Amino acid sequence: MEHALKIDGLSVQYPNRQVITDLSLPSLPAGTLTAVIGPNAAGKTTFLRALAGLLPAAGEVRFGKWDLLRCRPAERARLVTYMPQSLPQGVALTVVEAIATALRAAPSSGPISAESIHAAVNAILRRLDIGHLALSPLDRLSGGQRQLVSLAQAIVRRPKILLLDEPTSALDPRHQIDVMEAVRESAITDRTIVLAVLHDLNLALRWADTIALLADGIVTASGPPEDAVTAQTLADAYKVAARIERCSRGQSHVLIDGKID
Amino acid sequence: MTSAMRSRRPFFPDQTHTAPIDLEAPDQTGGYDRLIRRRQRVLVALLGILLIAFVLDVAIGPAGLSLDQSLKALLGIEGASRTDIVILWSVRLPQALTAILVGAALSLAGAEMQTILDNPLASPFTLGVSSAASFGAALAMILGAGLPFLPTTWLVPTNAFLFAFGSVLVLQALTLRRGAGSDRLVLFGIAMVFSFNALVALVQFVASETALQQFVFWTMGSISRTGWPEVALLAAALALAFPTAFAARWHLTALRFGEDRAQSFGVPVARLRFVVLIRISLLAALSVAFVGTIGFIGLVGPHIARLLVGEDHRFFLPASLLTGAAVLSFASLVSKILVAGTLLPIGIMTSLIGIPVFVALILRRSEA
Repeated sequence: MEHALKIDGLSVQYPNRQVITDLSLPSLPAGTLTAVIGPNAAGKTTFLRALAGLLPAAGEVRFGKWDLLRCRPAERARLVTYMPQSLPQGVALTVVEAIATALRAAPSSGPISAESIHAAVNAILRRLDIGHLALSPLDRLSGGQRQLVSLAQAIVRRPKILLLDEPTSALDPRHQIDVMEAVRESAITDRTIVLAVLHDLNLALRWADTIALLADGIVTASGPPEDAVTAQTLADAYKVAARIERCSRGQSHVLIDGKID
Repeated sequence: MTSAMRSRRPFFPDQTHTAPIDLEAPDQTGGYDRLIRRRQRVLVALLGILLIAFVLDVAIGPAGLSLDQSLKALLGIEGASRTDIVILWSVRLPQALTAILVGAALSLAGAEMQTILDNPLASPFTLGVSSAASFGAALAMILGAGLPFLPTTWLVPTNAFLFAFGSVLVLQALTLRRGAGSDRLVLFGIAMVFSFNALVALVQFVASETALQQFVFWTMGSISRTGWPEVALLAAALALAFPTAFAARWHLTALRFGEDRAQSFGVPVARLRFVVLIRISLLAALSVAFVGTIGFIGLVGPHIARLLVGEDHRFFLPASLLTGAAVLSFASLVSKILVAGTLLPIGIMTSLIGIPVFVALILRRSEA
């Protein structure tokens, strides 16, 4: 049974300020990738953490029969996986152990056999092209390599809803493509609903099915990439003068010309 | 994305097992099985070292029995003199076992503490457990304050235990108020350390000279005051703590990746931390109560274990336990033989033995 994710009136309040106000998005169908973009401190990470149940939040997040804001943590962990911005630096676990632990910590459907863990780890190492790092301890990896491992930990759980906080921030162009391809692949093959915070607007334009633009905890634009990202919406959210131009291959690109005061 | 055209780095060629998903692709986790076996061998080696330390610790002592005499007395074989049997069974064996159990308890507690606080400098004593125990002991020794109707020999350990355990409960209460993270827990712990140290100083200030001397000796740590009841209690605490810690090995390993991530993997982080703190306080409080403050072991045991087997808690927890036990057992041995006829405080020996091992391992690792 396939469900869509419906976010309706989500609000998050820190002790002395409102971070997210009445956030609603059009229903997000299975197998799609939604890019969450917006200026610094717009509430993007808070948004994902609220969806992951890591923060108390008001409103309603429906996925089939579940209300993700109110269901039991164990149940939510079966459906949702959240990938924070970075993996801690001083961890002496190897890459294989890191990925296997993501499966073993709380298996989503009963105990898993060592063989199926082995197979899953193997597949994900191959998919992200990090097999040569399999036995390296995490504290010997570069920031970009750690980011790939971090993504591997999230994807290997094959969640119904995958929340990625800046999965490409530390990566070179080639690995950015690796990551976006892997995310897209897991969206399509596992029918996952992916929400990814992206800072790179062009990456968002190229890969996302839907874009949600956040500013000051409010969705200021959302929808298909070309509707959500326009000169006007970028000017409002980022206070920059921008052009959206089609390149010779027909792909839209954002060009930033300067600041608007 | 894994196009067959792309050149790939070579993998360990000796692995023939392939994932069922893609039968043509080479195994990517090659060598991991070997790593596992190596870690299993490390655990066995640690156990061997511990046994050697234990045997030496039992066999050697100021009474100057030969190995042969010790063995006979231990096993009750005919020909063993009555005094030998008493020395072995009432002095050496309980003390040697105490060294092992306390080393294991403090090191296991330190390992779990470092994991839940995500801080390699944490030990059971970082959070003021030992300071609280010292204060409890000081109250009993110097002011004679403690629970009524207790035999005087149990007054000091009981007080030390109650204060150590109480300090952890207070810490829990403080942090539970608002889902506090590990950083806040450390800060509260440090506040606790300084508060209890000030209180201890206050009590010391009014102490008589004899009481003060007795107290100072207590803080140096000694395993010479323990007998079979203490050994039994320590063993029971470990028998309770280790299996429950080991059962949480995957949750603890997942916690190494940060709280948010662990929680998203389905680890109940707050409950895990609570249960771990209860275990730590039980282990640390009992140890401190019986042998005084032997603080260093809780820091160095887990570190050596981490350098040897990494942080997969399947191996890390037992390795910490064994390392702590072995270090304290050797410390006990050295404290007996370093100055002939004198039993030096084991707390001092622990640091003197543990630190060189520790530094050597760190240097070796940074060269690798």
